[in-house]
Amino acid sequence: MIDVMDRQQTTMSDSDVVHKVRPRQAASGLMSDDDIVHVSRSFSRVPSASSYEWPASFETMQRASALEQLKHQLFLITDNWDGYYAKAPQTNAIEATVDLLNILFGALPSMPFPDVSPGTEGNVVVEWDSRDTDIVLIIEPTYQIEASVRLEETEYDGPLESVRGALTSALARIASGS
Amino acid sequence: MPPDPSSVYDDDPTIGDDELLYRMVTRANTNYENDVAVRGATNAFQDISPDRLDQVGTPAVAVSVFLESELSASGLSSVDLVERWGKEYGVVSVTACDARQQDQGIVRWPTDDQPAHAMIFCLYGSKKTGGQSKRLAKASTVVIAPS
Repeated sequence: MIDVMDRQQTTMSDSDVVHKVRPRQAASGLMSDDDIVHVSRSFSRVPSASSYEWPASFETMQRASALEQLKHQLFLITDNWDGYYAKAPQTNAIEATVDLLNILFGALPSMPFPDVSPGTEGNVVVEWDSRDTDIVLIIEPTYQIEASVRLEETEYDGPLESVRGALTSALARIASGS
Repeated sequence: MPPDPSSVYDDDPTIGDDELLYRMVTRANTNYENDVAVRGATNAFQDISPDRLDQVGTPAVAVSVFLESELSASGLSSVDLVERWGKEYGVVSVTACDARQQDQGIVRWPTDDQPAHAMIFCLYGSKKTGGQSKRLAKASTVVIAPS
């Protein structure tokens, strides 16, 4: 299994090495040392990247298990995961994301599992999409949350507090499947 | 705090609205449907962290891209970008018009080894909002899927 020590080694390794977690094993939660692929790079001025894959569907897992797995996967992401010097998700942002989703799933049990991805600033990006409604939450290591909501043709962007009404409506729509 | 992008970059009127802007992506910032890459993800169009500006040598945050016309003029294509960056990378594109519709400007920022390099930057505010990044992602198309 990949543990914290492995993550530190990955972070500190030579910049011309790419570390890649294969999707299928990650999906089963059975990652082994063999699942780390090292690829030599020939262009030293182009940064290396770390890619990752989420389990095929968190939706089919028990929520508590899915959140634990999500947390684990977020902690595996290293600096420069995008090749453009992005920061790895910070501990505070990961913890805040899991806490937020726990609260949301408690309040809205029918809420589908969102797309969750690392942001470029050590933050975490949480998204739900439907035909008429989009939600983007960017959860910062400072615990601040920036929200972007689309309700049909109307867009709302700003700190969570400033778009609370639109966000509440959007979450209800997503939870109801509309 | 770095300066607002619009205080140091100007939208370049010589970059036409139909110019294709290529963004390098990995599987970590590509959206998939049934395991087929369909577009860039929201996080592919987030500005670089302000903490990283010293490393990349730019004065304000933006999203790095390559101008298709500049690549073409050098006899290069998106395939050459992937050959250079590595097979784990793919390429997604938006048009300059897509970017400008999200209150973004495009500035040429050539480097010694990447003369076609340019940046998409915010005309208003300090960085892209989640909504702007998402709308750019939704406007994007996959040119080459990451392996």
